[in-house]
Amino acid sequence: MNPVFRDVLITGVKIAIVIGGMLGVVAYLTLMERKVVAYIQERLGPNRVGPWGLLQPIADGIKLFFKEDVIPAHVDKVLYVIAPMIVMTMAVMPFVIIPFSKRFYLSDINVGILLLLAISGINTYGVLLAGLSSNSKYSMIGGLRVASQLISYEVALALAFVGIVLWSGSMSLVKIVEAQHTIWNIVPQIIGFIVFFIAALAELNRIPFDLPEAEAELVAGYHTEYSSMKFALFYLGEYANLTAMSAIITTVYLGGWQGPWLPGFVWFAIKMFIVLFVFMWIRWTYPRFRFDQLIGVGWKLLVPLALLNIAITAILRIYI
Amino acid sequence: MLGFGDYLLVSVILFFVGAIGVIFRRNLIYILMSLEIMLNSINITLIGLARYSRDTNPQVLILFILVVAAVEVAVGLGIAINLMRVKGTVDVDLFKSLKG
Amino acid sequence: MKVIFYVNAFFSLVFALGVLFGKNPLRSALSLLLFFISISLYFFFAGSDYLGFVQIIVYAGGIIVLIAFVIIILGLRRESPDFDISLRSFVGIILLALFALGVLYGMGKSILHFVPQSPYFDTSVAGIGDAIFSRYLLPFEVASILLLVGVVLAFIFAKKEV
Repeated sequence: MNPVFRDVLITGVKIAIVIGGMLGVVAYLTLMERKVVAYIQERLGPNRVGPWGLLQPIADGIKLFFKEDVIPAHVDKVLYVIAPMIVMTMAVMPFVIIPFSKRFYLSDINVGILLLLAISGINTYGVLLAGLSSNSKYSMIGGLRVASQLISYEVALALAFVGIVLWSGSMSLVKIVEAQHTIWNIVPQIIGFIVFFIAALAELNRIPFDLPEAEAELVAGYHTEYSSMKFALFYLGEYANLTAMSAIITTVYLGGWQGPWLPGFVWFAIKMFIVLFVFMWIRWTYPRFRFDQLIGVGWKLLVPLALLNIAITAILRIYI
Repeated sequence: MLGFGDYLLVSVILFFVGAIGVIFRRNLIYILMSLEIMLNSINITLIGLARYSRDTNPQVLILFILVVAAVEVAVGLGIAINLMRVKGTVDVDLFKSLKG
Repeated sequence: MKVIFYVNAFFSLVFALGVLFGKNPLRSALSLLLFFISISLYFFFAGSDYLGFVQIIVYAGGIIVLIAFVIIILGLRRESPDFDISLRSFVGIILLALFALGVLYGMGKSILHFVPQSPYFDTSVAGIGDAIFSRYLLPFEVASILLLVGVVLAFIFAKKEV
């Protein structure tokens, strides 16, 4: 077979596996979240469609797909349509560079961490544009809140990454995982991990930082005016972002695919689902912050902590 | 074959476009955006220089330009907000008096 | 390669003009965002991945969001174009055109005397870091002070009472 053709074919199959697997995980995350909240609140959760409600995500998808797609008359049409696409695309992007096992990754670029930060930078626009183009007060306040929140917490996120880069000596995710062969980054980088985890919660707009879509004050925040598949894209994008962030935390702090006995891919999945479960656990346990508290936590607590972490890491690097 | 000349040509054209914006527009926000276009067009020349003289120094200069651009936007937008509050407009031709 | 480069150049020109002649400030800001992303593509063309991503992070992730923020806070909506069409502007444009031609001529000539500084092109983060923390240490510190001044100034300007 022609080698070029073979390479293209192999890469295509890899991409199909990653995207298909990710969308499957995202679809069943919605079910998992509902089950987890149900058990936290001592209910049963969805159990009517299929055994243990396993077909519920498909039913939800069909329902959303067949709803009427309403575009309100007062919106900025182009931006209104583009916004959900940006959110979904940027949510899928991080999987390009995440190593799922020793051999299986789509691409290994030497500045992978910067790619992650760039993606999260562009991600802001999906939400911001959704809020602005909707031309409604609730959406606009939601969009503004989300933009200021994402900018503030991106600083903490980036500084936490600096600690990782200092410790591992590389920006490539593959190399970072390999550097965790003896000890996972979570041990020497425990402050960085805490900062990163809190900043990740804020980046994902999850409770206790879900001010942009606080239903008590803002109806549904930036996606108030969206319906049908466009709303579904926001909804799926949120869970895709959650999956991506769990995969990033697994890769960067929890040793990625490294682990004894089991194959790397299984270890990766186990760690990722544990992180996902913790995210859900937090969501249904804590109340919401006030907005000034949220910005205060970002700038006055997380950023200094991340700087302290960098200093400690640098000292450790020199003397150990 | 791509050469430094191509980078230089694109850079100069974009610099010119940005300068037209600075000269012709009167809205302060547009002037700031045009200034950003000018700064970025200089980056193209620098990266071309770095690429074809195989040198690290222009890349460092690009980072410094990034810093300057960020500071310029932060201060410029602060001025815009202030002017809007004082005069109710961001049209620069209306700001002629030295005493506030 | 050359074709892709000039297609990208065409797009960056279109986005730059979109910023210039836009009527809706928000649309112009988004056009500027696309312009910045097309600029980062030049960095990728030249092989400097690091600068390309830094460009996207700083400009797309920070500066455009700031500009969009201010546009929304000031309530700048669609407005009539505000071109300053007067004699002095045209004089300025002609002088600028002369300047641009001069740069093209002068620098274009100097291409002939290009001397590669090293056998290979170092675009790695380590290489740039080395340069910053050795030869450019003083400018680096000055840049940090500049950032600090920028923060303080922005705060003072945007405060309620001046």
